[in-house]
Amino acid sequence: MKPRIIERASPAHRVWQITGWAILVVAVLVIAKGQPNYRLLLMSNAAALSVAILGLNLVVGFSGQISLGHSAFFGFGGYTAAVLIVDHDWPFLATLPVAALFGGVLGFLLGLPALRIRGLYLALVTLALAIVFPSLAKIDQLADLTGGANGKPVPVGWHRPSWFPLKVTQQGWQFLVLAALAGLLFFLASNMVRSRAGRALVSLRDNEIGATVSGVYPAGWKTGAFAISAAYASMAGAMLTLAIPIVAPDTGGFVLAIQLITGLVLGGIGIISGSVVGALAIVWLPELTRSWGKFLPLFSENKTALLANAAYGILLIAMMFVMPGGIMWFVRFVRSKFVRFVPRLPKVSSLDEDVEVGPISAATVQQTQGGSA
Amino acid sequence: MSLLDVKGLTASYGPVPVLHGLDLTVDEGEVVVLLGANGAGKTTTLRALCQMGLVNIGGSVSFDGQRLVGRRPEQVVRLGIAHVPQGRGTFGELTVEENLQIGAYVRSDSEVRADIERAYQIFPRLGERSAQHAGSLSGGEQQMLAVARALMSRPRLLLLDEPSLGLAPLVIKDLFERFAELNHSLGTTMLIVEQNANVALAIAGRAYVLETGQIVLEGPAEQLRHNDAVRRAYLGF
Amino acid sequence: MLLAASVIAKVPGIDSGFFRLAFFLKLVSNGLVNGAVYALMALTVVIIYRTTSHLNFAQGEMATFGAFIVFALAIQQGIPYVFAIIIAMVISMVAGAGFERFLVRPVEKRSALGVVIVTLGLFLTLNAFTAAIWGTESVDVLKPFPGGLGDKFTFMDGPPQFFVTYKAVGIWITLAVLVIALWWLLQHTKLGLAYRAVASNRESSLAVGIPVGRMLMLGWAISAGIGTLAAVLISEQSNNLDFNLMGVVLLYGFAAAALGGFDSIVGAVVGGMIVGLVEALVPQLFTFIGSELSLAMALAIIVIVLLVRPQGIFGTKRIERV
Repeated sequence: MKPRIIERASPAHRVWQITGWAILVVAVLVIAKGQPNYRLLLMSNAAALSVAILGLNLVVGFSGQISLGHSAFFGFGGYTAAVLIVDHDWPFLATLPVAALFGGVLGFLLGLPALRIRGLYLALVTLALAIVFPSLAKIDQLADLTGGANGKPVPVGWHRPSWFPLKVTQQGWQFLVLAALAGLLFFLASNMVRSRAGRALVSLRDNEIGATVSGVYPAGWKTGAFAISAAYASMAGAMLTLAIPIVAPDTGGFVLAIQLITGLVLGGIGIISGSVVGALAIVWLPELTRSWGKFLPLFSENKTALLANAAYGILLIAMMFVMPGGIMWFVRFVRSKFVRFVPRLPKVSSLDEDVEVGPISAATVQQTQGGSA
Repeated sequence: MSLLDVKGLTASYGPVPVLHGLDLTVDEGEVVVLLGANGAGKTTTLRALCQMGLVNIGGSVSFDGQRLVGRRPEQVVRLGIAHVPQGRGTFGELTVEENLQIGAYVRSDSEVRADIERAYQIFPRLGERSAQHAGSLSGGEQQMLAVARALMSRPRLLLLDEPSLGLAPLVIKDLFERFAELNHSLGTTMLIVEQNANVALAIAGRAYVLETGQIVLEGPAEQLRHNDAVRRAYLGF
Repeated sequence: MLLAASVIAKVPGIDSGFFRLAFFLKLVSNGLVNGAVYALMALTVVIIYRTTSHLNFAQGEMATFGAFIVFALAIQQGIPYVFAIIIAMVISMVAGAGFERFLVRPVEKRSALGVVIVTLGLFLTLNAFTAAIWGTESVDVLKPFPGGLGDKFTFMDGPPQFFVTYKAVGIWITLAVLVIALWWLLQHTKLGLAYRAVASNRESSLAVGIPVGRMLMLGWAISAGIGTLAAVLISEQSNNLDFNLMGVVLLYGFAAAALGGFDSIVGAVVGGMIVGLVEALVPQLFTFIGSELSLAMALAIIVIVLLVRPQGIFGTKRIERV
């Protein structure tokens, strides 16, 4: 069966896109209304994490720089929101752009030296950053600001406003807000990568020398990518305070850093929608392992958290062998059997075939055709 | 029976085919040249013969009656083929002496030391620099080192990939004279892949011309030197 | 120098007790002992990096697992330490070679990022399994060297005393023996020459007939063995054995390797010692740096070295292959 070809930006494509978003919206509403509270909390977590993973995706998948430490930006954003809300009485929504801005500046500052530290070394530095973040958050001198080792409680307390038609619980409302924010941010990101800016980034990722020669200067684009990805991760950290009313040093630490990477790999590096899938996977995995753990002799009796970690680890390795492109890559692969999205085809006249022939063969051809050499 | 017998050799990098069915032979004691421009597939041919990775190889390659296709690279070396890669491929961080020692890796006899001394006799400049890091040698010296290293395994067939690349004309002339010398005195069979047809054809017995992955011409070197098309394309006159 | 010391001691934030000789010597010797272990970890980093240009992020967890095998054999089964350690090292070496062959090599053909992810995955898996098998609580500490209160050489009677414990000496001797053995292996054997050749030029190594794959496995095996040894030593030195034993030590190992040069054996030793000294001296000298920030110092070392002089002190300037 031949796949159906749909041109991008054509009416058919628009129908497809709108249907997709509509399904998502309906799904979110259904979940918000129907699911028990503890599950809604997990979904809120997933919504926030999906934005963080999206940030990571932008820098790893689209600009080709390895960052293993985006959890530090997440924690930073969370603390920023906490300080603004608790110490300065800011409303929740207002803290988000600020967290993004600060995160972006921080990302820019870190992205500058990152230009000089390539590849593997950058992975090492960013990983060390994630490991160090909790220590930084626990510095005694900053305890007034950060709440020290115990973290800083952030009572946001935003209840469903009376004008909202759907009757949902507190957790349901939180989830709706976060899902809406996430959706907006995903939409933005999706447009960004399809724009000239996005394509410049991808060209840098795939072939830096070729791109530079074509006029795409690495330094600006790469630090820009770093900054934007940090802004996303930071905003995600701020977002989470709505659902989880505390920020703690470990929020931005090593464990989260690994979870973000796991989510990125599971969902699909370089695929925007993969970030959602990845976030759902890492949030729900511990739930799954909690129920299976009983059946595995090694991991029963309170060791199910360990099983989750083991599962993350095994999945990471397995994905590299089986599905390095991630789950969404596989989904797209299956989808491509049925429908394929192609860029808008330019109208050109038929091109003359140019066959590369060496001098000897050309001479031979001429001779056999009876012409003079 | 030829020492090296290649029939229908194909090779590709992933999905991109580079060689489209080569036939060539090299007899014991010969110097055979494979001429070709950039992109013709010369390096790929040698790599396909040595079973070096990244190349999907098809067809038949027979060395001294033994099948080569599908063997591991170290097995090819043990069978008696030595490969001097493009760009010299010396071990820059090792000394000249260590480069020669490692050239004899597949040997376990006691004459390695003697062979190293002989290499210093043939290439005195290497002897002078025996304790220096190979990376600090000039281009011509590195090429000599690469050849000397290849000879350390006492190969029956020496494969040389564009030995003239990046070297000054006088150095090239000297180098190829030594190749001829080695062939006469040691009887080493050589398959030289080159762009520089002038020097290569001067020492070769037979030659092939490779274009976009296919052999388009073959014959005695002298004959090819006087072939009009070859002269125009590769000899510049 | 005493004058300078007394002046510096008056600067606020600097602990004036720092400069009492016995105390200072004690810090230095502690720093050098920890430094020896960091040097060992740095060696594992360097050995693998030289031939593969990869960093094994799971090295620490592999080492911890090895230390727990020693625990199971020596403490739970009562086997003498020497045998327990040797058996554990052999098991680690086989595992290390296996990881290289089956987990890393198939993936490295496709992407360098893939190898990073695989080693991270291995980190998680091993960490979880170690805790699952032996629990998350601290267990009895390994004591291959006599570690009682009296087992030391006393140099100054004090107060405060300055002494060097037998186990400290044991650790230094272990490092020295290992480094000499490595040096001899690399510089004076055919195997070592082949290894250095692979580190220098992988393609030419193939051309010369070296079984490159086996060399890579050998590198991972040796690193795994050294890692296990390092874990055993740090367990005794820090009086602790739990499933997170080597997490931080690996980071210090990376810092030491960065400082010394990722492809230099000498650099690993020197770097390890320096990192150990810095870790011991700096928080005592500048009291506003609490012990929490030792990790931050390691990070700072890594960042500064990579920005200012990526090849470290002894490393060679190489074209970054990633």
